[in-house]
Amino acid sequence: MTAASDSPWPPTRPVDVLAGAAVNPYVIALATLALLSLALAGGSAFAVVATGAFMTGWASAWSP
Amino acid sequence: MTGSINPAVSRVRYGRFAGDVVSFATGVLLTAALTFGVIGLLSSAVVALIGRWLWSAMVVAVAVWVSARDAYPRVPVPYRNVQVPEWIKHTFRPTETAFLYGAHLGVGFLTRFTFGTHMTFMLALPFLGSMSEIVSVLLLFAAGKCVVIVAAVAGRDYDEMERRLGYRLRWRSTGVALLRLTSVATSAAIVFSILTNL
Repeated sequence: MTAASDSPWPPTRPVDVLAGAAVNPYVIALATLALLSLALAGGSAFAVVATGAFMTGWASAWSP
Repeated sequence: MTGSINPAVSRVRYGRFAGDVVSFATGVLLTAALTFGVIGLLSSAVVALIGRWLWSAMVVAVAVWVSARDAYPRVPVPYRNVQVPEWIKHTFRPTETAFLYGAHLGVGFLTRFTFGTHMTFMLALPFLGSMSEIVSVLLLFAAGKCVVIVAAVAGRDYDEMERRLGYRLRWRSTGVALLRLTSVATSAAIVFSILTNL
């Protein structure tokens, strides 16, 4: 994936902002760390593994 | 995957595309389950022949290995360094293409390494308490991949899709580095949770 050099930045259409946020690496990282913290605090191995599974699927937008 | 399972490419209506997303998720789920089946058999054999401690040690060793890859891209890992073959989308209809892409990606090891969390969560699955928990985890894996596809829907015109994907997947090297660190932290948390029987 490469940046589209002819795309004006930042996007202004709500759908672009929303979809961009959905695959933004900072959002993915922060959401994952927040969920992991909750899962560890709750003492649930299932929740920890589930967070890892969702994260690895979600973050695949950023495969090399 | 985003440029192959997309209404701007397949020219299908949005309703039909929703079906394609379900087809993709089904493909991911089926082959991820198959991969787990192989890992589950291996895990059972190791536990039965030697002991649970060895499987735990193997999970720790592999988690360290793939986390090293997260940190340093030259560490070799058993993933094929290729994408899903292009001929699939030129040969099959959109719903079939979506299923086959999902099936290819669901295995995990047939395409490029993304993050070490994949290997770690797969190897940790045998530690979960029930089959319903395992299926739930695999469903979440498939759902995570679907977020990527749905977020790439950007109209039904190819040029518009490319332009708007530029907005959405605008490359952020610092963000990707943060994702790699997050992957290492997630693998560590998974290992901690299974070793301490959370």
